Amino acid sequence: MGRKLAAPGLSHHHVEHDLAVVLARGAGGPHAGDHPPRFGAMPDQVDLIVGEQAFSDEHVVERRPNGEHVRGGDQPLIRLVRIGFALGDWASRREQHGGSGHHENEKTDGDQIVDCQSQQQCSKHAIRVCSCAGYQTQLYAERMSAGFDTATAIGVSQPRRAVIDRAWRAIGPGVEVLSGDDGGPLRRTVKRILDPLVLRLRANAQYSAPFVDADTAVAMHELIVGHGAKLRAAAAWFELLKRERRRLRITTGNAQELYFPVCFELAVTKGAPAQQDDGSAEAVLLEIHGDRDRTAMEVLNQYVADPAVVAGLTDQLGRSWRDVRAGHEIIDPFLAGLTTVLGFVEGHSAAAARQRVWSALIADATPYNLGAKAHIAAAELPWSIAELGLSSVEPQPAPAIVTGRDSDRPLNRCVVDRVRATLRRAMDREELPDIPMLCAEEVDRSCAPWGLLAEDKQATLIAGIEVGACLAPLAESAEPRYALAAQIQARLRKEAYVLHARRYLADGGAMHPRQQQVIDDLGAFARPYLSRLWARLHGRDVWQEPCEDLDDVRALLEGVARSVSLDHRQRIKAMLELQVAG
Amino acid sequence: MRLVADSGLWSTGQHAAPTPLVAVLEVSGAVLSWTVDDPTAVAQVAFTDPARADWLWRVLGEPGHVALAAALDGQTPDATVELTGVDLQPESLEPLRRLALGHWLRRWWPTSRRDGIAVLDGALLDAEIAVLTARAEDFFIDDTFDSDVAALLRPHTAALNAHLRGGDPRVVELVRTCADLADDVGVAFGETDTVTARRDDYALAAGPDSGGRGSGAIATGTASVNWAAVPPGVFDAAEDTVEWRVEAADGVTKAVVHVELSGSGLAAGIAVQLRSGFLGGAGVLDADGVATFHMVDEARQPVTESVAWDHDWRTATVTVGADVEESPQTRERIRDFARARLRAPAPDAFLAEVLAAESDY
Repeated sequence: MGRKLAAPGLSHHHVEHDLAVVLARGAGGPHAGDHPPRFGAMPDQVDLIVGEQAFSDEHVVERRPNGEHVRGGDQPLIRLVRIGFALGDWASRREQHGGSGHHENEKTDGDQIVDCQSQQQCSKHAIRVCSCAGYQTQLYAERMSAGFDTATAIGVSQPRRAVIDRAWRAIGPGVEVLSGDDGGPLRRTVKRILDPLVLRLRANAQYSAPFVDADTAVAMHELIVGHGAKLRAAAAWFELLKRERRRLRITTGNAQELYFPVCFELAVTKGAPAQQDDGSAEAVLLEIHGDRDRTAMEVLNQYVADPAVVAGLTDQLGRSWRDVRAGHEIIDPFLAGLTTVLGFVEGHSAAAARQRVWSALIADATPYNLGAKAHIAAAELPWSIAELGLSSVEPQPAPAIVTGRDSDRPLNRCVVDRVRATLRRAMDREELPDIPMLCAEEVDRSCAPWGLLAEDKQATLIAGIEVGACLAPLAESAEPRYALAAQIQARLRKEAYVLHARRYLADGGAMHPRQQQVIDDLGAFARPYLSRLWARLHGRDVWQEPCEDLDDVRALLEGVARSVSLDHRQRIKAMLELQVAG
Repeated sequence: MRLVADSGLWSTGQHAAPTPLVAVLEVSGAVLSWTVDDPTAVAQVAFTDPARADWLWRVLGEPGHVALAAALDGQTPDATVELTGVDLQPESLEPLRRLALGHWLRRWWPTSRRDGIAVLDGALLDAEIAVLTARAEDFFIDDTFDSDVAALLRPHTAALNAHLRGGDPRVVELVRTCADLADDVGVAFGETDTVTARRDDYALAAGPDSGGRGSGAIATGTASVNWAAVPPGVFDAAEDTVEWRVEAADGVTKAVVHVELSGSGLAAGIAVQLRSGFLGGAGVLDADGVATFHMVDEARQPVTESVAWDHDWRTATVTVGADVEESPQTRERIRDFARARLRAPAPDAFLAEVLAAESDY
């Protein structure tokens, strides 16, 4: 028994660097394929597993999200299911779709944490959970293929990071430079080598769950230990590169961050470094520290230096801009739907329902219409795009090709600046579309509502506007109208407390006039929040990464708040430390 | 372990101590805090995002981590959650507590010439915090407010290099460790030859009596600085370091406030207010810690000399920096804590503290 299911191959998708991203979505509702974006961008077609699972709430203590997702990176996904859970429903649905040519998603099978000893008693006032007997994992894949109704394979669930730690220590000596003082792998060893190159999370989503069952743990362990020789060679390369770095007096960039993946690649392609220095380390360093995007940037600059090119793009822009027209659909249903998708969800069926609402929302014309109205009749919008910092003026003017009116505001950025941003973010991408195509597409994108082609990105921006408008890190009494915004606000408050506890900020205000500007910025949190969200969405729009999975979208909305908050707090800190150093 | 709802987040409970006595550390998905002068106090954990706290197994054990994740999954912070048999392991938290303490020392150490509390060497303190941060990197999967090693080292490369020539083997070892670290994180740590070790202790500007309490004063008094209201490294941390005087000249009443300085921070620009009944005034300190401003009444009209003489100034309060509440007992606790650490360096003492203690003799 125990058929290992094929892991989904997701290598054609891209993961944002700083956010774990859900790469696939369930297709319970309408999907992008039904509603091709108006400017001809390829819709994202990822349908790994179809169907809603009709788990009975009686059995499911808590499931989140609805089980169809592949997760990348470190996004946690925990599901609790009682041991008495009947599998018939699930298994039959799985079998329906198992042979459809789509990939099975082993992760959904692997990490069901089962609380068999003590139940979560969801009484009104207290939940009591006992850890002593351990949490156990049902291996759905095995039972499913065996066709049994009852649990036959149970393993203890383990935190994935603990599994990695143990496996790493089992490699033994030779990897010290990739290890911390306690012998475990360095954070960047995990992030830059083990996750992407050894465990290959993109292809093996089951290894990315925050908790893994015993079988998965064994597989991960074997995989890591099995790469022992390569990892030792990678460690030797890192030592060599560090020596060379010192010799060449290179001090830019984080050595681990930059060199770890290269070291592993060298270990795979060349084995351990040669005893005699053959100059390869130096060559590698010069390549890493060379200006990697210069070439593409130069091609872009040359391309748009040609007046004929700019004239052609300007023509195209004029036509595209005129093509965008608002429909007359009412917006209330969309905004009501947002209340659901940004709300709190308890239980699996609610999560599934919420995903369905989101799937409907991204097919709704409202985000398109609102964005189109921003071009001509911004006063009809529920918010002011100038106040939100999306555009410096209302209505939003058509962007320029080469120079922006106010390059600071996302919707006013000129087309070439948008392409530059794409090139900068393209560092890790293997291939880029050619520059003329990139520019032509960006002209259409910049004319599209909200400067985004795909409707799921436009809808996500609207969701972000609604969330961002509620956020006020320094306001004690802010009461966001969406549960998600309330959760983010609670975090922001805690983060503001850290500033207070560290004497960077008096209770709610500046302690030095130098900080006032940043504090005012914090008061208008929506502006930097939307700027950053827009930039992320722009990136996803270019690379056609979907925003169809609601949990992913919510994680994006949370992640942007986290990074804006960190950025602001570092500025507040710098304002005070600057004067001490001075 | 019990988790309660705390301002919309899950936490292990509220702190009893006021903020200046709380050492905090922001790790991935949580903010940890300890009462700084209570060695028996357990850590308080407030989860900003339990799902991002992938280090929990290190401090709760694996079953504990699994249990906590299971219990909180999908739950809005609301009803109390009781996790039987799940407890924080204090020894696993010790490096984090020490790191939190280091950050606290940077910001709250009560350097005072008047009280004889020696300054801590900022470069060495930051250097040691940087080393501890790098060692605790497992707790920082995301960048957090406290994970930035490079930012800790960058301002001090020259000062640390200068320390290499001092010859104290403990210092040299710390600086060497930092040099390696700086190398890794991309901070240029090369030799700089134009450096003189900056001594920023007791950089006292004008003396406290420069203005004098002299003739013509309608009223005088002293007050204390609320530490939470001002940046560190600017003012002497003793009590009663604010001297104020109300005087009249040319028919108008003005206030002169002088605050005793200590440290390298700049006093210039920090707000000062003097209030007494319906009279008040506000200004900003200059670089010498002095502010002079006109007093006005509730109609914002200038206060005449005769009104000023008739006024009862005994209730006057002076606010330096932001307007916050802070009890003198809190500050005294912090001074006691600092004095105790200087008297007999604690097992968790930072090198900067040890050196400050030695310099006391």
